[in-house]
Amino acid sequence: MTFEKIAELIAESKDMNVADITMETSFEDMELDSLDVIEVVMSIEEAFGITLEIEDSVRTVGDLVELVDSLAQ
Amino acid sequence: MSFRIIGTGRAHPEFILNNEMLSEIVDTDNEWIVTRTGINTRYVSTHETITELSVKAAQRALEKAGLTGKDLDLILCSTMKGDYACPSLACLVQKDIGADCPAVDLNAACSGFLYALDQADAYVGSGKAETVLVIGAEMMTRYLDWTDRGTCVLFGDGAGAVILRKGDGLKSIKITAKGDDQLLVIGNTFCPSPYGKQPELDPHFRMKGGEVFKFAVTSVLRDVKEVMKAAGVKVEDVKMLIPHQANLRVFQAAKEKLGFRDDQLAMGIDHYGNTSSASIPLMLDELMEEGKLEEGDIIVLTAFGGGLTTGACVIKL
Repeated sequence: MTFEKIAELIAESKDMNVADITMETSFEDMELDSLDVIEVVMSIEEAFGITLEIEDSVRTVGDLVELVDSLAQ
Repeated sequence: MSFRIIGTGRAHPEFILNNEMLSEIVDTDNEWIVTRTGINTRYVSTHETITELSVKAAQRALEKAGLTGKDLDLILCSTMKGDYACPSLACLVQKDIGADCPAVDLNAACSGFLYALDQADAYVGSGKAETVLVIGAEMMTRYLDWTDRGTCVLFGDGAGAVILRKGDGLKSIKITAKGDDQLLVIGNTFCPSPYGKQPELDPHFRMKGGEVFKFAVTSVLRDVKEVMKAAGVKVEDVKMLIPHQANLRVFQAAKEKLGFRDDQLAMGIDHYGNTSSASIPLMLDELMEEGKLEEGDIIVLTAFGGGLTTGACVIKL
C-alpha cells in the first residue's frame, strides 16, 4: 500500500509514468535532483501526516517506503 | 491599515557576472545553475558601496513620489550589514538625501523588507510618522565562499526603496521568527581583544539547502494563504505575487500549490540572483517601471530567510 501511494505521489509530482516506478528505482534513475527529492518528501509528509528526516542513505523508492513504514508503526 | 506606496526606486552595481564566468572559478556550468536556481546573471559590486546604492534607490523613489528628503518622518533600512557597523546605513542615507528625520537599520535577513514594512505600519498607524522611506539593501557577495559552488552562484547585490505615506494601501501583513543557528548562517568577524577567548565564527554564508527549501516552500504557502484570507482577497484578485527572489524552484512549487498563473508570478531571479532583503523592492520598482503594475493593482509580497524569519503582506497599489 505504502509503495503504491508513494509511486503515485512521485509520478504526479514529477510527471512520470507510475508503471516505470519499482521498489528498486533510484532517485538517480528518475533524474531527481536534491530539490526534487525534497518536493517528493513534502508530498509524502502531507499525504501520510508524518515528518521525514532524509539521510543520504535514502536513495531508492524502496528506501522511502521502508522509512515511511517504520514511522507508521 | 496604515500606508500606501507613493514611490519606488532601485539601484544595482554595474558589473554583471554570468554563469560562464562562474564556471571559470568553480566546478559548475550554466545548465546546472539555471536548472536548479533559475539564475542567469547577477550584479556584483566592484567599486560601489552599499551606501551609494541605497542613496541612489532612495533618491529615485523620492523623485517618483515628488518629495525631497525633508518630507520624510522616518527612514528604515533593512540590511544584514551596511558599510559600517556604526554609523548605520540609514543614517548615511539620511545625510546624503538631505533628510533630518530619525533613521535606523534593522536586520531580519531576507525577510527584512517585510519586517521594515511591518514597523512602518506601526509608526504610521500610531500617528508617529506620516511619510516613511523603507530601503532593502544588501551586498551578499561580501559574505560568500567563492570556492563553494553550491552557494557562490546564488547571490547578487542591490538596493530597492519605497516611499510610504499615510493611506489605505496595506491590507494585511504578518511576520514570524523561529530562532535557529543551523539552517542559514553568516558569522560576524570581530577584532579579538587580548582577553577574548570566544571561538571565531565562519564569516561565509552557509546553508543546509534541502532543509531551507522545505522551510521556504512551507512558510510561503502558510503566510500567503493567511495574509490573503486576512485581506479578503482571492487568487484571481491578485495582479502579482512577488516572492523573495531566492530560488525559482521555491516559488514554482509554491505557485502550483496556491493556484497562481505564470503571469501572476514576479520573476527577477534570472537577472538579479538572490539579493536577500533587497529582492522584493528591486522587483517592485522594475515592475512599476515596466508598466506591469499600476495604481489600484493588488500585490502579495512574501519572504523567508535566516533567523529563521518570514513575512508576507497584501498591498493595493
